[in-house]
Amino acid sequence: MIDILIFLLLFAPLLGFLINGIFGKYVFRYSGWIATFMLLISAFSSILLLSYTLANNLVYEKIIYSWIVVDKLKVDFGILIDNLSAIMVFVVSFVSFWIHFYSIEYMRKDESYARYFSYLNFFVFAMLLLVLANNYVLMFVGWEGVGLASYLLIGFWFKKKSATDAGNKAFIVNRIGDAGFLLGILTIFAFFQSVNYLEVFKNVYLIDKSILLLICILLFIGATGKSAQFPLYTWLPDAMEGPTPVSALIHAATMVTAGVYMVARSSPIYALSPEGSFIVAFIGAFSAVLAATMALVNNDIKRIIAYSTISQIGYMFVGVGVGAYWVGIFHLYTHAFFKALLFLGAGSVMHALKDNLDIRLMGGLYKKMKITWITFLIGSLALSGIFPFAGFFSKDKIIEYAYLSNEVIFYLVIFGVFLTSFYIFRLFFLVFHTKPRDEKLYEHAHESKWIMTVPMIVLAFFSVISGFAYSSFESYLNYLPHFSFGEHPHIPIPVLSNFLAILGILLAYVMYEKQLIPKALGELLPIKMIYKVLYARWGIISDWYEVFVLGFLKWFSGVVYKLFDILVIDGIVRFFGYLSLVFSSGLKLLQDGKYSTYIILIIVIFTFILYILILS
Amino acid sequence: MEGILSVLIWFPIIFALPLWFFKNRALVWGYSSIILSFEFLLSILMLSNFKFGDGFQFVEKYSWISSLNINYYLAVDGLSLLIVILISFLSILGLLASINLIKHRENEFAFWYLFLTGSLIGVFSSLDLFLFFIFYEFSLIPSYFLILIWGDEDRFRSSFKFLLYTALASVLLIVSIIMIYLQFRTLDYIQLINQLPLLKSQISLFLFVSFALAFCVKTPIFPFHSWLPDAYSNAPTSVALIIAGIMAKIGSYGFLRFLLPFFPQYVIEYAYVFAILSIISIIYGGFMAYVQDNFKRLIAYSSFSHMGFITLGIFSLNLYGINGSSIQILNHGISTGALFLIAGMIYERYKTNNISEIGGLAKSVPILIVFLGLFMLSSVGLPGTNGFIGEFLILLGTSLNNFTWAIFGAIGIVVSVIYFLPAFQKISYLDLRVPKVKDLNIREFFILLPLLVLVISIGVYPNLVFNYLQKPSEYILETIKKGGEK
Repeated sequence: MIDILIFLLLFAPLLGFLINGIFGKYVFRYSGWIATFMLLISAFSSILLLSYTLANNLVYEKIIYSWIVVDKLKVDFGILIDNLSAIMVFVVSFVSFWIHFYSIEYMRKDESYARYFSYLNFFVFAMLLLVLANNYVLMFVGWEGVGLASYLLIGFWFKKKSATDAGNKAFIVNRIGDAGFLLGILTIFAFFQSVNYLEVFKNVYLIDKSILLLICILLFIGATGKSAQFPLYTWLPDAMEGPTPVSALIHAATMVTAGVYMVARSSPIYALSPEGSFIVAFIGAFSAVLAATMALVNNDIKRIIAYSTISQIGYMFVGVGVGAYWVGIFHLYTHAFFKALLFLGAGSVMHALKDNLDIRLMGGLYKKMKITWITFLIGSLALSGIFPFAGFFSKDKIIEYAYLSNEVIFYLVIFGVFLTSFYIFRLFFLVFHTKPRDEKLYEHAHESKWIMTVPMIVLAFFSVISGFAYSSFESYLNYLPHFSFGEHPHIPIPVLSNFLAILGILLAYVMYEKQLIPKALGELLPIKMIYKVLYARWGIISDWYEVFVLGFLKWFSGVVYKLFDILVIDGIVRFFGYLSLVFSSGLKLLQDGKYSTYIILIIVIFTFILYILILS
Repeated sequence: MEGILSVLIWFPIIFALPLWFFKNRALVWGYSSIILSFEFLLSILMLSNFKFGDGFQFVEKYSWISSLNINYYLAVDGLSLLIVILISFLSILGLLASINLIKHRENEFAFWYLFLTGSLIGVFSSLDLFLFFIFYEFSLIPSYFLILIWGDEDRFRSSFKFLLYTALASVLLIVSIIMIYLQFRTLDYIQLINQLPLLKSQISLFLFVSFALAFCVKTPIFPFHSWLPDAYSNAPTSVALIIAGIMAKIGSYGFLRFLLPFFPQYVIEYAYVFAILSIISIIYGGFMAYVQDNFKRLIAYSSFSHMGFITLGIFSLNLYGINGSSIQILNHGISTGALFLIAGMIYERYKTNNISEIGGLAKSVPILIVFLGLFMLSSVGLPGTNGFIGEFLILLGTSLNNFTWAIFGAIGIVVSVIYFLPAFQKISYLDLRVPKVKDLNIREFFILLPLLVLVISIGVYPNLVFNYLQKPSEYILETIKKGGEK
């Protein structure tokens, strides 16, 4: 029974990928429905699987076949079901289903409709593989698989240079992280003689602390790439070049949270390495604030939400980094709903405004797009962590645990709360309220069709209610090794965080809706400077890929190619070639083109060789 | 199955002779593809008769020059068996791919091509050093002519350079082979494995260095690579397929077959030199590929970079690395070979190899681009493709030996996407309003499809190949261990 569920769950999307990928030409008109149906199968199986797993606290390993077997290395194509992976597959397939559904309408007019859905199905397959794997190498397969899907979907509209550039950037930056992940796997194998989760975790107590720290760091390098954390986050804002449902699914709800899943999956290792965990938490908190500051001044509706994603994943890393794994996963779960919702809302707005992205050209849309407006408001409130929306429960727990473990991290995340509510409500007011700033676009605006609004309503519903599951979540994931937290916080953290969040909303309201802040304030030098720095996304911190990989490395390789490879390495060869020509002008006399000369030569040489052989 | 290796070697060579008298184009291609298809089927037959537990099989041993104790000694183990099959497989695909590419002196082309196939099979199945050398020299002649007569613009210079370099390797080889003969009065591989490691240090060191140099040139390893970009990029693509896919493997095969078992003490002592040169090859080759505009040159440098992985794995001197390198020897033939074939198909359509002059191919030739993309992914070692299995095992083997080297190897897998992705982007995406051309025809489709099937099936189920490689790898390691103790 459970095997059948796993099978359906995992391979239905693969089948959809093959159908749309190979026969896309013939099933073109139905490819959206085919792909969505496959996801319906997946989502349905995942719900059954989840309820069964949670009810029995199941830990179930299923080996399908032995994949790589060399000496002591044994990598299975195997599945591990436990509460953690069951929750993850539920989030992935459930959100994926609604986003597939939404895409049917969103992508309807695209000439590459079938290609789009085949990629999307492939993504889901790879993501499920990542989550379900029972060992690190198979996780790596899914890990790079989702990276490939992400690359293909970012560059989906391949006539746009910016889109394919962004695809390359995503793949290359991710590969840097992947290299770290791979080295982490190699280290794990070197010390554990296995890559299977359960076997590794069983022996984790026998391994030296410094080795565990090394493993933690290497794995986390992988996580920073896939989950877009400092300093490898730079690909994610550019990834917004892809179709908006893709941003919702891959670059918000599921793929980018893979790093959090990986750390939680490796909790037995991280729980024994406080230093390693601290690095995770600190990078998370730092990324949370850094990305939030960049979101403050951006004018691109999708990029603001993208920076918000980086920031929220930072929160999740704080959760898993301070050793409260269930909280990190809980935030992953609530975030999947409200962030996908925000993206779908953004997509709905773009659809209404001829794919316009600039929030400076929007405004006043609430009159024309009631459903989008309300659902977006729900998403924003959930993101800001206002009681009783989903984000409140998960983010508050993170802040609480951060308070209990480290002061610096606590100040960072609590500051982040204020920034978060400010940037998202800045966006909200500028898009839906205020006066329309571009009449023509405003004229064109309309509410989206039901195929697009239904998923938004569903996700909005979950953005409200999913937070209430927090206590059962804790009990479900308590089996993961975690740090112990003795006391409760001395200060009422929910009050503090809600206060800051409301402060942010009010500030956004005053600044953008009421425009009460005098212009002159913006002209002050320090404020102008800050604005400039933020607008430039902190300069090199965000631009290192362009400057170093595309600029310096290309230039440097060119120089080495011309000056060293051609001039020196090849030059030496050419020199010898020339030398041999000079010498051979003497030998030329022997090569007169007459067979008789050659035969004589051959005879002479052979006698010579034989002579030596016989002599010795 | 007695004598099958001789048949595989001499059948194409003998049946190539009548080609000199053929005048009709269609007849030339028809005749030679029948020969090579038959050759391929014959080689496949060996698979079913192969016994996994045994070492060298299909043995043929006849006294050849009895006064000098030189034997006509052929046999294959799992590794060389797979290489032999790869040769016959790539040969038939390459021949089919040449049909529209080679427009003059087709009969001579086919002759040399068949000749090359036979002699290469000889190289990989000889167990007598003299015979090995003879076949090695045999393979040089056709490859030289194939570049010289049917190559691109710069064919004279590059074929000469190719000849010069390979001649250097031959000189080193023949000198060492003569010296070995003078020491032991035999060139029998099996006997030498037991005797050579016992050799006194002075001569042994000299032999080690000259063998190593010869194979380094052939592989090539940095800094002996300058023949490669010219030869690969100027050879017609079907020939580049054979030179890069098979001939270059003589180097890495030579390391595994001869250098490691013959000179275990020195190999252990100097493994770090090879590892460092391999790492330089990986990264350096990658960055050189990054700045190439000529697509064939780009593949050439990338091939050079990938060969670095193979040697890195070999000199990790453990089962993971050697298994990884053995499988990568095959993978590299498949993926790089396929990339060269695709470069040829693009050239047929656009009459240029320059990436900057083509673009938007995803629109005009979508199926071709799907193949290109998948083979590139195999080349960058994406999990699920064959390339991942090899690179993963190589890095694993390396990390167990020296973690720092593994870090550099991992940098190599980043570099490979840095040069491949922008090239892919320029070729397939950016719209340059290239002339409208036809997508793959049936012949081309069925040339590429088998290669793709191999890419995926080795990637998903590598035991297909490991079953054959396990035993030879263990054998090599055993000889090293034994020799190292002496």
